[in-house]
Amino acid sequence: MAETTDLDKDAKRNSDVALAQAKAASAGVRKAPWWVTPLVAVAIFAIIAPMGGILGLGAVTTLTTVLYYTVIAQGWNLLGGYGGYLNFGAAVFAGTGAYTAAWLNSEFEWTLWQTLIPAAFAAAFVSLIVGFATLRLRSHYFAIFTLVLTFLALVVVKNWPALGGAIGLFTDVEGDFSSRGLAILFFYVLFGLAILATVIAYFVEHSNFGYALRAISEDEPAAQVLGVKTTSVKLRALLIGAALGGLAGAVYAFFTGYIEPAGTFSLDLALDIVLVCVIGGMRSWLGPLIGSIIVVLLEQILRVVVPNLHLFGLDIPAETNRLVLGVLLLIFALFIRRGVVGLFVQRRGRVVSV
Amino acid sequence: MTNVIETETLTKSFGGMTAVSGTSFSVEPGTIVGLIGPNGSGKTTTLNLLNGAIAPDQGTIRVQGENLAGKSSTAFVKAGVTRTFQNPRVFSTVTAMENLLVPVLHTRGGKAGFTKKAEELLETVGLLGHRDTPASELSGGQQKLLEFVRALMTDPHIVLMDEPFAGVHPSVKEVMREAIVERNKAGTAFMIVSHEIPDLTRLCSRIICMSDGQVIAEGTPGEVTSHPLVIEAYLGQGPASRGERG
Ligand SMILES: Nc1ncnc2c1ncn2[C@@H]1O[C@H](COP(=O)(O)OP(=O)(O)OP(=O)(O)O)[C@@H](O)[C@H]1O
Ligand SMILES: [Mg+2]
Repeated sequence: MAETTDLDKDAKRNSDVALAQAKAASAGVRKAPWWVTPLVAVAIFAIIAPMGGILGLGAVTTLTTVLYYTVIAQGWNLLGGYGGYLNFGAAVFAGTGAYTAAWLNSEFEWTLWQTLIPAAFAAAFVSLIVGFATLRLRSHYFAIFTLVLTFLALVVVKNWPALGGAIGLFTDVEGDFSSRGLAILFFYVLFGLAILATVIAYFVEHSNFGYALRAISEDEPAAQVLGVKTTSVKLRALLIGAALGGLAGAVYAFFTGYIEPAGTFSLDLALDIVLVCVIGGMRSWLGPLIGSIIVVLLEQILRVVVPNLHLFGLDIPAETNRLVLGVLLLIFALFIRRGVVGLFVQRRGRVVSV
Repeated sequence: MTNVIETETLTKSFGGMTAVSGTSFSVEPGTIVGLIGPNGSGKTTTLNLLNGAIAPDQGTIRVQGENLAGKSSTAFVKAGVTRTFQNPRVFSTVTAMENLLVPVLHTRGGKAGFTKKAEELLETVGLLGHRDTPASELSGGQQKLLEFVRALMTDPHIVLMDEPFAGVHPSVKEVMREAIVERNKAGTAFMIVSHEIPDLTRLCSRIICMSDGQVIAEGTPGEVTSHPLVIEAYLGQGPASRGERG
């Protein structure tokens, strides 16, 4: 009797194994060994690394924007991607960093290096307030709130005389730099930050914290019932992401030499970051990096190409590039849920709604 | 010795509908208690109350002597209460291993230690080979087993299980049963909700029967299954062992 049961068990286990293997095989085309993603990331950074010295000024500036987006997107993706709390708040944290740095520079002549940490802290501080106020909300309400928050930040800063009001603030990099020297400086500062952000994302993805974030994005009540302090986990993800955004923002303030409210707290940036992560892949630490490259280059191409198109003798408005990106966002959100990275690397189960 | 769980006049209503109505019962350390009752009698709601997933309107829930009524699930898990769900709620986009690492997020210890522990637990239910399989690719039965061992990661004093035997192949059922017995030998108490009365009578030393949110009978499996009120409650909806619902 006991023997029969054991046999049964083995038979069932085997059939279960067979089932899982069959399922895995059906996804087999997409399976890649674990080291592929790290290798791709290292390769990308290795290729980008010498570019600062090689390329012309315009191209270096474009790559600098790629790196700027990478830092913010990696930060955003912690809560927005892994945690499933899609939001439009990226510009608020980057903007806080930018304004902190610009203010410290214009008012107290702090250098770029000196403003980095305060900018990160300021952004993290703002994220704490935002988080405490809103992270008990479920994801959709949170998304809407962050939209409002961006406008709120814009209004507050616009009416804050110490921050230059609607006029904004100027920044100045210490030392004698040629314009090319400056471009190279910003390129490498953001290059370093992009690596930092990517490494952080890698470690988060492979930590219990990262698993908890994904558990939250799938089934928050279940995670809660298993003992996960979900609000605190979300808050931590937001905070780390905001600090990264703050760092990027600080560099940006020096990079452009001048910041003003409308350009800094812009929904364009917030939407771009969402686009970057959706296109790159929100379930992977590689996604924001790949997405940044694609989105920035695509925007660049569109900006150059679209105004020169005279389809059927019509002038195509420059805003068309936003339309193209919007359609792209829809396509990815609907059909390519795992993003570009998901097309190539290991399938990780069903992706639930974001 | 203090009871692992002890409730008094536990009450929970949804709108005008009282799902749990003044129930009092207790679970002694290291015992396996069955919780039966017709569909809609309040079993799942009771489990939800017993681990803080929902707060009671009234009454106390003592865990190891401390009243945790109204506290969050985190407090219950800390006090040693974990659970499984009527429909398995594994995290499908992460692997079996990663599922097991979610509950220990706030527990002290290194990842290596937790990984080893998780591997040992997966082994006990024959899932070690699926360590790195996304949970969505596991069969329904395997998901139930995974959910069970996930509930053991925090070394609970009691595991609340909602329908562990429903809709699974007899062999998986057997794996589950053995794993429960093994764990119980090591001192873990269980409260198991099930419509599979024969399975429960094999496992449990005591059975509690609910109907309309109230405890109508309590005792050894023999006593409860032959209790006139229990028979009456079940007769209302046909053979007890078939009354399954999602
Ligand atoms: N969140 C809720 N909101 C409203 N009513 C609820 C809720 N949860 C449970 N109920 C109601 O409470 C009653 C008890 O439900 P419960 O799920 O506890 O029963 P059960 O004994 O687990 O039943 P089953 O054997 O079918 O699983 C039912 O009438 C149910 O409709
Ligand atoms: Mg139920």
